[in-house]
Amino acid sequence: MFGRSTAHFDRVVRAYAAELFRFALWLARDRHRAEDILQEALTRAWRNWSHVKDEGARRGWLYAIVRNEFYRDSGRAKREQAEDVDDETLAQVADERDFTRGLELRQILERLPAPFMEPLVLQNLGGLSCEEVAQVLGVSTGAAMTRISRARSALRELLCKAGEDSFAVRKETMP
Amino acid sequence: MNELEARRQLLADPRRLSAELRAAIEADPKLSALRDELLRRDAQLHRVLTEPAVPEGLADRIVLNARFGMRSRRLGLSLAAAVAAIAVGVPSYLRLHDNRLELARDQAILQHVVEGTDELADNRGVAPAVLRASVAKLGVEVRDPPGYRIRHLANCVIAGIESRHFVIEGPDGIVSYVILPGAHGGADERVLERSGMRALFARHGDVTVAVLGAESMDRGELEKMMRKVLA
Repeated sequence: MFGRSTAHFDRVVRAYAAELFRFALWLARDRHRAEDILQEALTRAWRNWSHVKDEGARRGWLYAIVRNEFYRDSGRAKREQAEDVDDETLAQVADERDFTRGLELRQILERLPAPFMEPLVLQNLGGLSCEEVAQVLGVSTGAAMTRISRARSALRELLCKAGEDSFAVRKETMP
Repeated sequence: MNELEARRQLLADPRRLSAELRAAIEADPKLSALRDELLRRDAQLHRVLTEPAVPEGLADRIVLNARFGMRSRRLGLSLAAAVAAIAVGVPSYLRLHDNRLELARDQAILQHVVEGTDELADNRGVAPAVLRASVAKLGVEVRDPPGYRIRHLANCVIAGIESRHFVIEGPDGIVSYVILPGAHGGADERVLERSGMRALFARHGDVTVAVLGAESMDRGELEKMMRKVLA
């Protein structure tokens, strides 16, 4: 519908640049690198602009390109780490009572392993649905839901241990 | 839906609820409390995630680089390093690189003026002293040629850089000027055309000055307009 329209590209970039930058920043943890990743990603996006037929999928497509660019830039090891859904690591993080004490929410989120942190960030930052998160990560919707629910459970536990939780959070059994 | 499945779905997305999940929440105060807590937690999380400031002019730079073929700073630096290894090629590469950067900036200026129809239509009038003071901040002096009226003046972000854009009207018609700091030292002068508009770009030290008029104006007339207004 929009083809490779420069005006449409401009509008989309202006609408999503901020949140995509923050997503890249969250992945890269470095502002300069985040901007470079975003720049490369959107240059690629522009080259393939007309490939997206459903405008409703545009936003998720952009997130996926930013994420791919981050892992392309980071190398295979990092990507494998991100794809390795290891519940034990998550459980270990959740069990580290001492280090979580006094940490802020941001720091605790940073401690979550990438396979759990990423979908949670995508949902909260981009407002993506579980289906859209699944498309960005290249996994099934069920897998995305499982990762997000486990991430939230772990986050609740960690916040409770950190002593910053104003709510009475009892230890939950992960579904 | 059993409680375990309801909890799993709630934890996966507390904002988008199926009818079945909504009914389960209404029937179970524990699920309702969990949802409230998750929504509050998500609001905190959203605040944390949107806390970092976004670099000024980011979208402009992305559009400029993506559309006009420039690569990222990282890739640019890698290219520069690779080329630097070939000592003979360095000077010509740098000239080419600067020219490319300059061309991209010039195209961004032209695009800004072509698409800024509101700015072209604005005719509120600006006092010459105001224009002089505004462009002086960029190290540029302007004259006040008799018979000309300043229709519009604005600080615009072009290619991620704050610039001055003013429009004057006189015997030669309506002409736009853009002053963009941070020139890379590429081609001294260049003429570009787009959408019925012709533009002359010139480098004055580290500032790019552009004069933009109707396509009917040739290069000589644009040069004359540049000399007439810019000291």
